[in-house]
Amino acid sequence: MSSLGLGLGVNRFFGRGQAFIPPPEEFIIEVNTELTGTSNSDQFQFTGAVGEYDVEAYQNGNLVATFENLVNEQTITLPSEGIYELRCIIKPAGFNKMTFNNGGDRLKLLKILNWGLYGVNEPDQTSAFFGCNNLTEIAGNGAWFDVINNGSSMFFNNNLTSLPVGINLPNLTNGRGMFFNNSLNSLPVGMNLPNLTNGINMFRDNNLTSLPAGMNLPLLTSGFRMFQDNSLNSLPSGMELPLLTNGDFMFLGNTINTERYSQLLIDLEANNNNNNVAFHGGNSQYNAQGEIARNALVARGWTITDGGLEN
Amino acid sequence: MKYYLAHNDKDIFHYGKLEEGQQVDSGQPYFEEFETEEELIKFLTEKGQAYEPIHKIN
Repeated sequence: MSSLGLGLGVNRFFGRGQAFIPPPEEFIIEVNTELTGTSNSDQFQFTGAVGEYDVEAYQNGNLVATFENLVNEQTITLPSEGIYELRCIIKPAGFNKMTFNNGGDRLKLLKILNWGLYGVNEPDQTSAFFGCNNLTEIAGNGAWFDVINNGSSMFFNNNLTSLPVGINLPNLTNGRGMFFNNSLNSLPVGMNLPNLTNGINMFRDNNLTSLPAGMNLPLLTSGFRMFQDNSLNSLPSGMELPLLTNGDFMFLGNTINTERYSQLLIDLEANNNNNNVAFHGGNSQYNAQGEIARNALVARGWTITDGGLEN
Repeated sequence: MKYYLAHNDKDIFHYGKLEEGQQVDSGQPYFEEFETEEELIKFLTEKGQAYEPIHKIN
């Protein structure tokens, strides 16, 4: 029986046409127990969980099972195989993270419907949802993302097409592989990444055509393959990459328009004091002003690959 | 030329694959060209350098 006093079959929707608004403290996910995983086809494993929590399982808005006093990684058995909404009621000890790390029941997770108190005290979310190939949606109430400083491989190999507004990541320093190999078409306004230093593979293999205004990456040192195999055709005004030490394959597979790419070369030459940097501009071409800057960078030991001088 | 390696024969090794319409220029003292990826890998290995595939890791 539920710790909230709800019985089996209780419907938690409020009246006709009024959708239930989840309490903000609950971490709510949608899972399909039938999909391949570590647990049986009527079970779900909270893979790599770190926290203390109760779980209420719902189908079609009806409470069908409850599980109390769970600690860290636990496997729950549902009434039958199928799709469930699991509402994790987080205890005072907190719920720091999941750690699928490309294993466990990673394929059973379909959606994160509400973050609640998930992660509010854990800035390191390394590999949290890594390998959740069927994860297509994450909730928008992601203010807690502000605390993350290490998002390495956090959503690597998921199936996200967009990120909700509010996921700004102002304190992220390590974004290595964080959104690698999703299907992102855009990034939310406000994701400026002012403290990012490690951007290796961060947005590689997505469908981005542009980046949010203000994403200037002033502290980025490694942009190795950061935007490889997207479809960027421009860059935010003000992205000058003054501290970049490794831009190898950074824009491979993209074609930034000639004016903007030329300005980037000019800004790199003027503001980046590093020598011997590898930089890949994809198929982007440069104009005569860009050529002057490019030649100056090459004279400092840079290796630059791009689409050459525009005719 | 399909694959390239610009280096200083010491601690700087910039490598890649040239695709149609692309151009590479380097200020490194040595510039090697390879017809195949295997030749590039062999050269890098002889120099004690790791190699990561240029496209998907899958």
